[in-house]
Amino acid sequence: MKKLLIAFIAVALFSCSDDFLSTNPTEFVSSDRIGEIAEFDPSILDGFLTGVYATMYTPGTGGTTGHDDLGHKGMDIFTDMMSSDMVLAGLNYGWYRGVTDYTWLEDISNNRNYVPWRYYYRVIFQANAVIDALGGTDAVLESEASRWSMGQAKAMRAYGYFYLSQLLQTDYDPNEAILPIYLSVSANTPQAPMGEVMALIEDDLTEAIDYLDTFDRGGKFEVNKPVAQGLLAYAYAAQGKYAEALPLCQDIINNGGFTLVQDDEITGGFNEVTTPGWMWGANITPDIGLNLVSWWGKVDIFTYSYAWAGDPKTIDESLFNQMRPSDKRIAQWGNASYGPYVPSQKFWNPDRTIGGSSADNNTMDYIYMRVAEFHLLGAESAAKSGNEGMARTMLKNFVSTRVDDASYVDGLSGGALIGEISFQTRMELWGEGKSYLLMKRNDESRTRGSNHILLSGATIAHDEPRATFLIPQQESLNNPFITD
Amino acid sequence: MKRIILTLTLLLSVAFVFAQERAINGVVRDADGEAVIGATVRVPNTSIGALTDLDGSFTLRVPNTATEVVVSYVGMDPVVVPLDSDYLEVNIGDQAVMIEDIVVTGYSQVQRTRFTGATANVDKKAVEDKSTSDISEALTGEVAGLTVINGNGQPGTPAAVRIRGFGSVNGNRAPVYVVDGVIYQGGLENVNPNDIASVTVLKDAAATALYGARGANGVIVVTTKRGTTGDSKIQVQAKYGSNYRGLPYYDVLQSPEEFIETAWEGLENGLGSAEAASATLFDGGIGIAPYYNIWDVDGEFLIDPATGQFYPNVNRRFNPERRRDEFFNPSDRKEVNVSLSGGEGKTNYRTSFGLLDEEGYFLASQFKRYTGRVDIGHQVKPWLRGTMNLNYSNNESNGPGQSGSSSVNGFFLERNAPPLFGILLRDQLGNTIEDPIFGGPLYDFGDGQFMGNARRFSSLSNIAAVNRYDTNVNNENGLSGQADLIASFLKNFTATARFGVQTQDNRGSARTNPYYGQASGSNGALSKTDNRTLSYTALQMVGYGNQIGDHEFSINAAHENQYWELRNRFSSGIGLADPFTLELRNVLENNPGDSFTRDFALESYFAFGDYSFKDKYFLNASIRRDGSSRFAEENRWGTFPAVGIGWVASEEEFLQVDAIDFLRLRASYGETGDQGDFSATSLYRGGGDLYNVGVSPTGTASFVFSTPVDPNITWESVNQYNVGLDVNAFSRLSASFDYFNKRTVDLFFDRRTGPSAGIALIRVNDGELLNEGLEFDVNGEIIKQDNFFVNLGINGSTLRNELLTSPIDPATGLPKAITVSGSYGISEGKSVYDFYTRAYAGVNADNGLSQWVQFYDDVNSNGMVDDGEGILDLVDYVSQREISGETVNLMQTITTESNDATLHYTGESGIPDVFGATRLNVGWKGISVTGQLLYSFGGYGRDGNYQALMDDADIGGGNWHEDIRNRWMNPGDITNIPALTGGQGSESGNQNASSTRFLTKRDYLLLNNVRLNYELPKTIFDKIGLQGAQFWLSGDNLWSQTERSGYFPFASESGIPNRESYDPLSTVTTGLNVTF
Repeated sequence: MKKLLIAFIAVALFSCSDDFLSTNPTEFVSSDRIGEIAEFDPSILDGFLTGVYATMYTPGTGGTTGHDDLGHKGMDIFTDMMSSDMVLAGLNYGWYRGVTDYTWLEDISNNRNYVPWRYYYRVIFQANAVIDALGGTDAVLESEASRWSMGQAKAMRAYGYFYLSQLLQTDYDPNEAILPIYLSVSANTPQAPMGEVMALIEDDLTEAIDYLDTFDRGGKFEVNKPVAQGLLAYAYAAQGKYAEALPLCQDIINNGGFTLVQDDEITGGFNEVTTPGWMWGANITPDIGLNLVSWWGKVDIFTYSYAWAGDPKTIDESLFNQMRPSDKRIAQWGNASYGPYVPSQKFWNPDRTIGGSSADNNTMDYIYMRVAEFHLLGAESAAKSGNEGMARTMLKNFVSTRVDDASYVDGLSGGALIGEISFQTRMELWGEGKSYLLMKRNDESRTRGSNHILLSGATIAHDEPRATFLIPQQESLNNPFITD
Repeated sequence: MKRIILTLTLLLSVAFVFAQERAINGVVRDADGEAVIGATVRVPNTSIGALTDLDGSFTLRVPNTATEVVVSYVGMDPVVVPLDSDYLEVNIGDQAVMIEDIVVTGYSQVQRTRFTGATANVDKKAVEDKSTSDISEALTGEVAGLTVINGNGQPGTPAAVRIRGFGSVNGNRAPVYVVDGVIYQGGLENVNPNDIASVTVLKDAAATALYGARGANGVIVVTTKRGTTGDSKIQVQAKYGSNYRGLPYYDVLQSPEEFIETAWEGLENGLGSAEAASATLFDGGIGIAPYYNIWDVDGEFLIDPATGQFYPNVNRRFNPERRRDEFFNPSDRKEVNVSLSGGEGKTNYRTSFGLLDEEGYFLASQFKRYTGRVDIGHQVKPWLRGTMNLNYSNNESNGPGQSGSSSVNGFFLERNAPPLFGILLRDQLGNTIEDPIFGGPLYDFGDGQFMGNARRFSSLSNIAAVNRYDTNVNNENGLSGQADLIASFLKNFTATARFGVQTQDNRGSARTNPYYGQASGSNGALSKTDNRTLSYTALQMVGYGNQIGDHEFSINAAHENQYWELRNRFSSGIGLADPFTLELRNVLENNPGDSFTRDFALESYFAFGDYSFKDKYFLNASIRRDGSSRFAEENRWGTFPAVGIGWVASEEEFLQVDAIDFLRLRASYGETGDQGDFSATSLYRGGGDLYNVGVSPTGTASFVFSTPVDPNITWESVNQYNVGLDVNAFSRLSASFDYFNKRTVDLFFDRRTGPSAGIALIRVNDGELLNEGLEFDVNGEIIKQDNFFVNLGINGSTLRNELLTSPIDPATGLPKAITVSGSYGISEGKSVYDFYTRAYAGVNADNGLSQWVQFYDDVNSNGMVDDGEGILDLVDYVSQREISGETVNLMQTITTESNDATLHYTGESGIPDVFGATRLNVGWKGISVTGQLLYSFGGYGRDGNYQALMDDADIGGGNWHEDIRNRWMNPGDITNIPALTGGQGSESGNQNASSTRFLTKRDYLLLNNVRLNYELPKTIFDKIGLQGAQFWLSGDNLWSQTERSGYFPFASESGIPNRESYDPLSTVTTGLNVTF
């Protein structure tokens, strides 16, 4: 009998092998698992950096399931509406309803204050994870590959802080403390003065420009030197440091290797990342799996999604009406059957059937940055740093690709010159998420055209609190250093 | 897997050598031929004895010298049986033995008096009375402290069950089901309630600690029916009935005219003039699309600006269809169960076959199930008994229009659709239009024309059409089985090897038609989701039991492995070559596929035993050590002990009082654990943070951060004590009272951080939560005569829930002052369902704006709110000032800005004070009527449905509740309902901000079941050769009384309704039970 008991106990003990309790759920991949693979295939670690970029085009990275939580391009729609250039021309589904009239933005518990905060800080967090893995923010890096990784991670960290600085502050004040700063992955920190945030952005981008000098990127979704220069130019301009912004713009134009979007490209659909004028953007592939919850679903009337089904996005009528009769961009806008002011010839699905293209498997690319921005920002920087001559030259170079006769630029100076640069920036970059930045740095007030359903005819100043995002309730409730 | 087979083989291959002993086995039955479970079979004057198991059988090794055994059972006279055979069939007593007298713990079955834990047996009759498709809903109201949350009326969907409060803040709160001794991880819909013999609910730690790491939220032990030797019979049950929407709707506006007049008034207020309101009403901008004007004049000529009412000569072009008429219709419920059972000699068996075919009251919702079960028990050798059962189930369900997304959810749409939006497309004359593809009328998907004519309410959706054109079917095969080998050896030893397996294969196909609606842009869409779960449990257990003098004891030691996995595969495509296909082969463009696995393993060692002295004093104890694959190696193992004591005081001489038939006191203490639920985000393994695998635009891998994982995560554990009293008195009253106190420590807590840190929350073990309450279950036989009886029972529970310790905030190293989760705040001294929201202060009578309470820190003591003095979050604010040592000059005022209103504890809790059920049972001769009424008193829920129905958004975006008639209209109006502004007031978005205004009492009464039963007299069925026959008529969910019509607080855990839920189903059935 003893034997039986011993056998029984032996069996019981035998089954207690560690194997049995080692399971392997596969819904997610864990950092430990990636580490194990990296021991024999270090290239897998690149996935952390591409993960930072994936955050830009993956829906829901703003921490919600809202169909307006689209990453970088989702924020573009928010700010384009807040700048009044993009009109929400139907109130049927209700997405953006309270963004266009700012009512949601005045409510700290509304998700639209949460989404940008969550999204940009998520980018910063992931960039910091890469930076930590490379040895931290002050690491001295020997290998070129690690410098390239560090350069990209820091540029993306700066990207996050830059947009937060523009979206959360009504007007630039270096002493106002709004944003917590994280130089590595860590627990919550107190809010830092905006001047410190700007200094961090400048440091990160300066280092990125240095590190990325020899970097030949694999795809336009990655940050290379001109993109880092472009981000730094915006950061300088936002602080009024136009003299520093100007040479960056010139370097991008002269040495970046990009050409202006022109001729047929103007109405070519803005859906192909290989367009020579695009500096930064994402090649959207079916595997990425975007559907109607995508920028194209929101804006393109040929995609079977919201823009077609009841909530079209159109251009502000008064902005549209400022175009000269010969402006080639007039052709970017609607025709009788689609209704006026619809960007049906600027942004379009190649199928060109209204509401006819499945939003699933869409392969239309995302644009983040193009060289035209720096022709215009260069002109603006020149004008504002006392070099109107150069400003006129740069502006005329650009405008001559858009209208038959650009000689009117020669007669512009002072406010009129700045105003023309502003108009060209808004017009050229409609729907590309740049107008709000311009409104902020240029201290512009925008008066809404009559085709706005909401706040039609209203004037919105650049520093109105309602036209600025608030620190979301989740942050003030859970960050112990924010004590409202 | 291999080692489990090895275990079984080893156990079987051991040669048993016995000397001067022989094995006796047999079966014990009562007068009705039913198996007697837990009877004692003993050799007189020795310590040799055994208890009968679930099919009444026993095995005993007796000395060759023994000549008789004594069979005894509580409350019966012992029977002496001569040992004239090695196989004994024993009949004891005339009195029916109630299965209620046995506690089945899954690892053993014990006479109720010997068991010291808090348990409840569910009356088998009560399960049979109800027309439910699975056991979970049948438990409703049967057990004190057990709540059934039937949040989904779709036929075939099991309900959620909670036992003794809310055991965790963010972790699992669901109990474990054990079917025939094996933890059941398959779908409950695969177990036919007609196959269930008994249900025991284990509530306290003395009972549940046996389940160690899984027992923290209670255990529901289900035993299936078995055959009894010598009692062959055929039982047939047939039911026919109807499912219908029997519970009331919200009182929403029904008249398109009233709706438009109300909308018009909103615009008048919002736009500032009656003229503007009329011009805008149907302008397709701020107003509704002109296409949806159902009257015979243009929108601007509908309303008389002078009166705000329709001009008298305006007529409708047509009457729009009402969604409730189109969506909700009574439908059939059919059920047939046939079983054959019996046994000869050493073998007993039961087979059963069941068919359930039911349709819900909502559109094409439907559930069809076939079940087949085989159960065989056989005494293989004198010392070895084997049982095995196998259950196969196939079910098919269809659930179109039940999406969790509101715009395609029929229940949301019915409740919220403005009454002027019908469901059919109309031409200018108001006539319907022939559908060239499917025939019949064309449906309105709200996308009729581009720009300005979209329907503001759920455009691109039409549920009535989806029901006709689309498919959403699930087909499930479930196979589960369990095999036991029980050997007796030496004196009083038993060894058990048990293997149980459940596998379930669920295949779903969702097809969206190419012509109309959501997938018309992609020429149709098809998606297929396969979920296969497999789980198994292997148990090896050795037991020893003996009686020495007045001392009786048993001890068992066991080892158990459990494994569970889910394999998911998803594939989809667009463009249907065959518009009705359900196969991807016939689809033109396939999307990238997806698959993943979730799994976990659990290994356990445990021992349990009991001791009793003179059948008066009882002791139960158990200890279990569990290791889970869900935690990192160093945090994997946990130990869970428990002990219980019982005292049958009525056995004492000094308590020999006539009035008291039975009196027992019980007490227990124990620790149980929980490893968390299986949702994706909690698949923590301490193996680092979790990333989503994505693909970069150049096709390389990209890892997008998903979930942070605390490497130290481990068991959540519950320390629970229980004190109980059971009393039977006056031969007609029985009652049980239990006080329980459960402290959950190392809580699974989703600790929120400021999202600027890059993560919004991380699950940690921290904090401590208390649940305590008093449970009662009282049954009285009010009238007890030969032909007439009236029984009345009431059970219920109180509940107090309190967070004892708040988790540490790593940013400060101090306990977090408060965690705000939806409308609730979680902080020390409060429950998990204490409302932390804005306090509503009514409507400003001058301007019609909503007002809320604002707290402020009057730093400059000027008695008013200055910049920076307002407080958004009271608890957090005060605690910050306490830490920094600053004083707070707390003042209170009223604000019309919801953003300035202060979140604070407003005093309402979501937790009821007392809840339970009463049951009345009246019988006269063969006729009986049973009724069960559920009750719950106390507590509030935030009625989000009502909130949405009181909204002031763009007109035509939703309907209104009739209460909108009481809105503020003119200065001086005293009301709680603010003015409407047609979405145009600068405050419009905030007028209906969440606040105490929408907190609704969650008291309810629900007539859960009424059954009229007629049993044919014995004299009649004897003549026609039947063993028994009864007819009955039964109704479920017949009537409810709640604070607001349409609000069903019993359909959700918190009392906050799920806005996309299938509202409770009512059922009326007639049935027939015949036994041959």
